[in-house]
Amino acid sequence: MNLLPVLMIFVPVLAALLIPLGLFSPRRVSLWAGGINLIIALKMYWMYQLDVGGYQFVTRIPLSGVHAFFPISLHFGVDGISLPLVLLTAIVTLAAVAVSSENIRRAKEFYIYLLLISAGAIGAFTALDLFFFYGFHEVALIPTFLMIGIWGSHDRKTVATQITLYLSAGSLVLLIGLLLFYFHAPTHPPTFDLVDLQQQLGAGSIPLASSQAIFLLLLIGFGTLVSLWPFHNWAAPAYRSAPPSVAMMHAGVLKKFGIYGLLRLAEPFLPQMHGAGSYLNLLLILLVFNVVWIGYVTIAQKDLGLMLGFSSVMHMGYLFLGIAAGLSFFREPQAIIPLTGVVLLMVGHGLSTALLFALSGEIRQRLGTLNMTEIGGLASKTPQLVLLFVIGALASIGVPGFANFTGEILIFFGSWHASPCPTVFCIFGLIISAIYMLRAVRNVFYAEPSQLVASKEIKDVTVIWPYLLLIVPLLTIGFWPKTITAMAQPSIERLLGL
Amino acid sequence: MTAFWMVFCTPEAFLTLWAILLLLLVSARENIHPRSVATWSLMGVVLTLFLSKYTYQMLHANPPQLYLVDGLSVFFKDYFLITLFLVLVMGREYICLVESAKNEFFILPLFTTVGLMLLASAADFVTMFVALELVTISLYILVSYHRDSPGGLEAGMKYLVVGGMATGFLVYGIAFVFGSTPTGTLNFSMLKVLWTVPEPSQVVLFAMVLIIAGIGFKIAAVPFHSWAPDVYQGAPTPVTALLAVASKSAGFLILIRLFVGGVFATPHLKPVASDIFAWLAAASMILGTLAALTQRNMKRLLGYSSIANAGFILMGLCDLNQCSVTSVLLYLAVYLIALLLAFYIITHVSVLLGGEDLRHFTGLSQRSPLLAFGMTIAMASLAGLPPLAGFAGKLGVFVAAFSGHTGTYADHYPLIGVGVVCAAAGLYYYLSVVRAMYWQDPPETATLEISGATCATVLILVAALVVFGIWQQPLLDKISFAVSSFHFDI
Repeated sequence: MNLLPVLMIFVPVLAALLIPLGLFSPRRVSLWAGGINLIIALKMYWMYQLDVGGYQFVTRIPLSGVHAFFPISLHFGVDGISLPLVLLTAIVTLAAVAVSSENIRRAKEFYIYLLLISAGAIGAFTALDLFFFYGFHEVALIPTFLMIGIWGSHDRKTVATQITLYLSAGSLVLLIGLLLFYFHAPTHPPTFDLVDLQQQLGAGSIPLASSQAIFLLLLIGFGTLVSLWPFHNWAAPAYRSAPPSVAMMHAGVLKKFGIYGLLRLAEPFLPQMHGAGSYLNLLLILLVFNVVWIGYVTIAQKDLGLMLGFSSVMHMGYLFLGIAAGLSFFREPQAIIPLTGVVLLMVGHGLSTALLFALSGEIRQRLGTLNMTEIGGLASKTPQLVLLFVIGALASIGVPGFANFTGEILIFFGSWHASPCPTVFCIFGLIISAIYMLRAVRNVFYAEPSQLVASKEIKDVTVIWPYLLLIVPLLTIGFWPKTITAMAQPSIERLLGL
Repeated sequence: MTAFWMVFCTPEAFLTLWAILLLLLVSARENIHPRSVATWSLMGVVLTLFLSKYTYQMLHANPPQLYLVDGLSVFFKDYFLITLFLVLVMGREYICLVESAKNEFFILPLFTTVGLMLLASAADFVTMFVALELVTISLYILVSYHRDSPGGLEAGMKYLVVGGMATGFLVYGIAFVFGSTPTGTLNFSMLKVLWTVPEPSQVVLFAMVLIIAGIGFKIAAVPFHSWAPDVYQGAPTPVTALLAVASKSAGFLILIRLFVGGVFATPHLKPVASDIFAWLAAASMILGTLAALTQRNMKRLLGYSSIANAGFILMGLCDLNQCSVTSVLLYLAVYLIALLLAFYIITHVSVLLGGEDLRHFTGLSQRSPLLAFGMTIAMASLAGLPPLAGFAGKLGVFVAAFSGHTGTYADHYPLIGVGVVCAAAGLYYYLSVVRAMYWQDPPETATLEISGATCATVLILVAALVVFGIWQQPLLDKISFAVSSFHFDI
């Protein structure tokens, strides 16, 4: 038994309990919690034994008997797929706390919720029991809703209600999908346990017909959480309204839960039909809409916040492309490459999105608006902010040298043989994202200084380390992808039973 | 021990005696304070709770004629006593706050609970009916306790009329049961033997439908729901809490007794009952959810939510097997905690801020973080969000509905679909309270004074919701005992 993953859940929770006592400033407590968690995550990363592979740091406490009504257990652990995501969560949490202001309105509540989001995300990624896998994600969602409703900008109440209803409805569809999965998986005894499922289920042990139905429900459920077209309407307005740290946590970390879930459940257990009319084809069509349609929508945006929101929706299309490629090579060796790419891109996208949302928050704090027609020519006043933003933009576009590039290229290699036509569309999407990102950079930073910018005294960013925290791993993984692939690839092989 | 002395060992007899003695005491001494009456009532409840533990073995062996003791009855007796305990605690603070209630306010609920406990042990239609009437009649008085307020009177009137109608259906059904047998028996065990071979006639089917209608009023299932919102709104809040929990669980207790392995569980009647429950479930979930969406009064909102919840529980029940009973008992147990927490906070808000409309809750988080937090947890649990106990309850009824698929009668997929949509829509109205408390600013910012006891009660209930959300096994152990030593074979 190794308690490190459980400890990572407990540290933010304990910090959240400590805050109401008022002994230290809420931000300081949160920084400490984030720092400790980052150290623990790095330690786990360091200690993970590559030659052994599989699930490590496992804790298992059964909460019920064998033939119980709910066969659940507190079962936590990480493998090469979830460990990078846990590290991502720790990094983004610390950065999100660091970019939040000390004297925000109702500060205690703010930091408590932020810490709870972090605890929920870590719980969701480390849980090896479907009950807690689902439960922890909801734990992270509820403070997200509250934070948008309390500290949001723009029409915060409407936006918060909208995201709450969308994501809760999606979660319920997901719950039904998970229950169907539970009832149709021929395990003895029936179990929510991911490790048991992985050991007992072989290829085709869930009949094709039920596998199709379960996949559709999981696709809609997880898809809503990940903003798959046409279930994406909540995303962009919510990210624009949300305080930067919430947008960082949700777009950067929490949203990956849906992709992670599909990777864990659909890839190894749910064989799909191929060809016209299959749900696999449906997924391919939807993801092309995600990339191309949302790509064009992103180009049309005038507000930097909305643009970043839509861009984050758009990039989910690439992750879905990897998932679809993995499914079309169901439990075959060809599935390894795109799925490894998915893990890489999840981390890369999480870091780059968090970076961009944090910086757009800085800009809004300085200018009071993110409307790109009103702001322009910031470069002359805030050179460091520009540099950081350009790095984020380049990473997001997928320029070689950043983690996103390695992820995308692996996905494209993998999906080329499975579904060439959607792959071409997605590669075309890279051009679209280059267009809107570079246009935004030009408008916001390099155009003639607008009246608003020229008339104001604008300070440059002073605290750089939170941004470096996000950029360093982006570059590290970009230049040396083995930091992740070395552990992700064997875990994917094991997941697929290869 | 003779049957005569056995009677005095029952927890019901003890509680009745306690209540009568308290009534005599109160009438003998004029200047007794309601709070001390409440304390004495609470003591009676605790003693009864202990007594029912000790007399179980003694009474268990007794062959049931009118009164049976099995796991299910033990579970429900504990359940009702815990409900009563919390309601009395709530009422005790209510008194401190409004000073309008008299002493009987704390004695009448004891009689209600005696009725409920007797109902849990009913082995005969006559016992069942008498027990149910004891419950209903004491509730008639409690519901219209605020005689001078028009709302209270309206609630009392509606409950009286509708309750009378429910009784009518029930008696009519029981009469047909009596008439359908050659020797004219009303004992559950004998009826079960009589009806197994040969198949009972159509008259029994008719009787069954009438009895379902009568119980439908008690659990507030559509189309027998119309009284719930008005009565919930008009009754004093502690009484609403008692009514909401007790009436509903009493109804489900009877349904389990009669339909799961009981008298109506013949191969001929069971599929019909299962279908009826499925339709009632769908109608209740849809109507309860839709009507709750636009409510502005918290008690009325919870009234409609209770209709929707009746639908969810019926969805769990409609397969009528062991798994259904487990899910129903689990749902009722967690529903009790969340609902009493909600009513507890509503009591405080309505007294401190002068009403229980949604607008009274605006910005509560800034005036009293604890009450707002407790209300949020209660609402989230009712909405079925993890990691709270309500999630386990909702998951349970869905599991029960799913597992019926591998079983016998009907494919419940459409019903499950309705359930999912309603659960999602339900989030909207539960959220509306949270939205008001957290996202809006209060009209004034003075903090509300809350006593230490109130804080402790809220925190204990919140802790219970969180703990049972993660670790349901203690509850499930009790439930599996109730299911395993059920008097009828399932």
